[in-house]
Amino acid sequence: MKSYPARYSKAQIKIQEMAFVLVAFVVFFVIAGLFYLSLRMSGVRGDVQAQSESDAQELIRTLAETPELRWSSTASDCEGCIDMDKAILLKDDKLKIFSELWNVDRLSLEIIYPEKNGECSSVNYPECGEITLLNKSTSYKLYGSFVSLCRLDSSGSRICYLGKIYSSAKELK
Amino acid sequence: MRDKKAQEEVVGFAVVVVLVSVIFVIILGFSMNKPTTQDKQSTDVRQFLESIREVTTDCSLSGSIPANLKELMGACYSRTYCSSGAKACDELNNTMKDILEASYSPSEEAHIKAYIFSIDFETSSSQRENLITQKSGNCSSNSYRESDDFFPYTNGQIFTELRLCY
Repeated sequence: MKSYPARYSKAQIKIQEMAFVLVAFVVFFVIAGLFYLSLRMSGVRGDVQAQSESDAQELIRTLAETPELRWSSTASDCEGCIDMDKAILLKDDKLKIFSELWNVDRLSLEIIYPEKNGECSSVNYPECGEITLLNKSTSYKLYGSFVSLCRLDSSGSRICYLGKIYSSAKELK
Repeated sequence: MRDKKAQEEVVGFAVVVVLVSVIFVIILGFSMNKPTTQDKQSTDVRQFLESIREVTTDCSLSGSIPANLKELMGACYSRTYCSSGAKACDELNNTMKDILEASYSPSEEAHIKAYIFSIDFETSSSQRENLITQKSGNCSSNSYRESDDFFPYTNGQIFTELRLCY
């Protein structure tokens, strides 16, 4: 049996060409769209992470405002300051305030400026740089917020340092 | 003749694809670079600016009680001196430099590459006077976080502003 090659008219070839071009365009735009979307999504993911970090920092800041840590001398007002003299008394969560009442896994204070080193104890306080209030093992991320850490010196005047309060908890994840 | 026509069509197609790509890249570039002021505001920087106000300095303005940074900023605006004889503005400059270095330690290798910090006094008629400005590194990139803080002082307000560049 004799076979005949398919014969296309010029118009059919043109239509075929047009179809190829259209398919190529569609494929191009789909790839470009996916690329653009992935870029936007990575940006959104970054924004979400930044927002959740910001929320965590605000939440930690509220810990500094609680009566157990807040500077509350009637002689001098100090907004957002932490009383280091109170904190050293609550070190190692002796009263279980932080672990049971606030449900926090880790809580510590660190002096950033002026530079001081070493964990505080009743022996070396205030010549030390860090007060660990609670240190339970946890898988949650540790967040930090800037605060003013204040104490009374021997003459009764307030001395404040720039510090950070660090915490990790389920609510901060 | 038929080959030449096919070549022309391929070249035409390539030109169209290149044109569309260029337009797409331009649109993408514009949309990605659009600055959003809300993105740039940082809670961390705001908390830093709020917290430094109470930091005790080495400068005593009256008697032996050391002034805090807020008082030192006011003293700098008033062009007064510390008990030690040092200018309040010089003491403010030195203290702020130490605080910023201790808090962020910027460098080319670090996460934070540079910063710009300034303290300004704004009168009730909105006239601004710069008290100090501190810069470290090159803050020219579009990747930054910033915030400001202010408190009332005499007949105006003292503004502190910090931009951290990544």
